[in-house]
Amino acid sequence: MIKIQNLYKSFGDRVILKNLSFSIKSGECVSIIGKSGIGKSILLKHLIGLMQPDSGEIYVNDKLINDLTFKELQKVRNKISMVFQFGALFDFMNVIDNVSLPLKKLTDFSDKEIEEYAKKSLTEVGLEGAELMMPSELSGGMRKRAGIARAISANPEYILYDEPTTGLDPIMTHSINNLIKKIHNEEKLTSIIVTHEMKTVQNVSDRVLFLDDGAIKYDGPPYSMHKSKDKTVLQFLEVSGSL
Amino acid sequence: MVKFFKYPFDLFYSSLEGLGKFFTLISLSIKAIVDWRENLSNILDQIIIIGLKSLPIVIFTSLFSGMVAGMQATYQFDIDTGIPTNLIGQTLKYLGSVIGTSVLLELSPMVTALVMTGKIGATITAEIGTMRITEQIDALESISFNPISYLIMPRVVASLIMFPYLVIVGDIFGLIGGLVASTSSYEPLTASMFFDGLKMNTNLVNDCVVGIIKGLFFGFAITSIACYKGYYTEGGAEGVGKATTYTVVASCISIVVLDYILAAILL
Repeated sequence: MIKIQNLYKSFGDRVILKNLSFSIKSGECVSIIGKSGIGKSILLKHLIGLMQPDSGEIYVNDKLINDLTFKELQKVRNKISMVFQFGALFDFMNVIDNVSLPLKKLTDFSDKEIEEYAKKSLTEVGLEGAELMMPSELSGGMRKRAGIARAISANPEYILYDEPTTGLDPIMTHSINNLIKKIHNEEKLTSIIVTHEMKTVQNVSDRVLFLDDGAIKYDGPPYSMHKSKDKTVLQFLEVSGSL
Repeated sequence: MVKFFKYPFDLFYSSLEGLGKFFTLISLSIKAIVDWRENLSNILDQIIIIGLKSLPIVIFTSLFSGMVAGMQATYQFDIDTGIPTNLIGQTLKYLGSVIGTSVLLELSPMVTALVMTGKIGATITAEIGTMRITEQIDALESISFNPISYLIMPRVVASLIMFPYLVIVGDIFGLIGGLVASTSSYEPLTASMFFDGLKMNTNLVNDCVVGIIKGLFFGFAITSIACYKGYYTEGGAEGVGKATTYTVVASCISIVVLDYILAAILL
């Protein structure tokens, strides 16, 4: 379970998150949506300890992760994987080395086992045959798939997706959405997805958090979003053609 | 108007903040040396990039800077020095000493450092800066890697190992250049006279060590500035460009300043 209490974050005079509180139960698939630049990705980076809040608490499996030392934070990060917006593949390594890296770091597997697991992850995301390709040779969709393969390779409890479908065509978006859904169901993970795509929200998630002006303006299932009384939520739905 | 008066204070504050971040990052990277076993392959990769792959350019520039030193020394000797003709033979051998000292003390460490600023400093900032803006450093952290141990420490360690070695190579080729240019441009000077002159310099080993120490400091300055600017890059591709330019300028300035300080201390 992930629990956030009174989270506050600002950059200079600009307040990004204001006393944000919510919790995510194990096994849930939650989408976080909202306008660009509202702090969705920043919120996600707080969950994995890549950013520290100005105040407030973040608990992962009942452990407070603020102000942990690097070594203590490593133990928490072993349970959480993150898929970055553009894949964030290490461009000096080929695809299989990228996917193997978490296994090398987080497990005691032999080289042969690591290769097998990495290949299994690549097959799961439909990238078999791309093992030896360099990140610069991959298309946007392939990069995102390779990023997902790297995230699932070390068998995490939680997986965080930062705009997994941004910049993809509708067919690739549909395919990535299905992949996220499949991984969520088969691996029994807790998934948290930051997205702008209402299709991702509707097709993949059980619950939606709508973030605006540093606070949560909607928290509930995707199918009841239209019942919200918040103007920004309704405007978002209307503009995205979901109302 | 308020902005105008506020600017120096903002600049002072941001410079202090930058210095604090720089020294924190460098002290963390020195602390991370304890993780050397885990990052041995990265250190070896950097040794190859910083050291072995830089050899041709160091050889080339040292050779030519030695040749310039040789030409200039013989030119100065050739013009009316006022030395009586019957004494020229005895004083000629001092040329070897003069050229040797300038190559070992100044030219080789300085030219090597300036060339490496362009080749290695700029590369390190661009590499790490690109990793920062494409979230690769965040990705490393998210899979429990310490980016300072994985990215910064290997580069700093490799430069501390390889810069002295590059200076020694620069010394050898600088001297060869000096020998070739001086003996070919000034007929009365022979190779044996040049070597006699070198041997006459009783401080030759000391000069060589001072040059190597300079190289060590220059290497540390270049890689630490480059890593710092890369690690804290922001602002997309434009940010990487600015950080790379800053690295080259700041490294050149720190080399010149360090050169003076080290000369004042060591000579």
